[in-house]
Amino acid sequence: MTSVFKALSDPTRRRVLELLRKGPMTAGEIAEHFRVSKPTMSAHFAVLREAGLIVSEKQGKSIVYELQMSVLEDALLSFMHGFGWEKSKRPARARKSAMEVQTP
Amino acid sequence: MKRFSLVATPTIGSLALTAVLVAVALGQRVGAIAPALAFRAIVAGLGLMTLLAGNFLPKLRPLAASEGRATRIAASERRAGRMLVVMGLALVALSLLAPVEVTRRIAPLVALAGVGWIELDWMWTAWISRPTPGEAAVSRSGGERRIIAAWMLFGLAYLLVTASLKFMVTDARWARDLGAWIVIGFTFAYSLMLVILDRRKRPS
Repeated sequence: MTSVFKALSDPTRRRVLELLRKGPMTAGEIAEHFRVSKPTMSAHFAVLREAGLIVSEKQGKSIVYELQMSVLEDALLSFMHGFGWEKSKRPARARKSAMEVQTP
Repeated sequence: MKRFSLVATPTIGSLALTAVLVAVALGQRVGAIAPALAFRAIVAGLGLMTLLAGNFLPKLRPLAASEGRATRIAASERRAGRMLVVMGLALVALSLLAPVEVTRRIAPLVALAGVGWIELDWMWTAWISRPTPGEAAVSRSGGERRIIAAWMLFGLAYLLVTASLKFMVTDARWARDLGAWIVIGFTFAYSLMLVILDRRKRPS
């Protein structure tokens, strides 16, 4: 459960989950929505995969990501959106989380 | 480890709760537990089982997404999961807060309505997801999780339906027959979904 909270604490990762609610997407399609480097994006995917919130499947040259959230995890994500965390804390948190992910 | 825990948590949880329900039923039969308390414990146990199954349903993917319909099918699984969670919460709340007579009347209706709603929703999703001629619908991975999810759902549906009908109309023969038909309907809805989703492109 700690890994789930860690994954959901980051606005970029929450936005990735929101995008995947519309259906499975390739890594490239998801990355188009963000202004971050590919390694940073890969690190975000790894955190989400480790928490069991998404699953990946290799299809040809691309990796397709798909949502795999329980009802509780889905409710947690909606709860964070409902309280407007995305709008109020996005810039500062996004910068901070990007730095955290890039730092080994 | 992650894959193990994903499958193990709902399975072990359901088995543990089933063991508790059996122990409560035996305790009541030998007179160690008062009937009213046993009734509340059984409804609470069924509610927790429903909650557990509902929470993990979207992760276990009992319908397994197929290319082209993944979003619609995943949405259907999420709806079923949420419905089971709401049902579970309602059953637990009734068992803890409502008078026994009220619980005896309302809990079976909640359970039967929930199972019926999921049946209808899956049949409707199967109907609108039927493949068009020449369309490829290749099944994706997750077979072992699907089997576990299927057993868990059938077990839960059987328990909920038989317990609900027993609470509502005691042990009448027609009630047992009705229960069997509701479970058969649930199995039919599930099978129909799988047949439609697993249909592969025929060689032309």
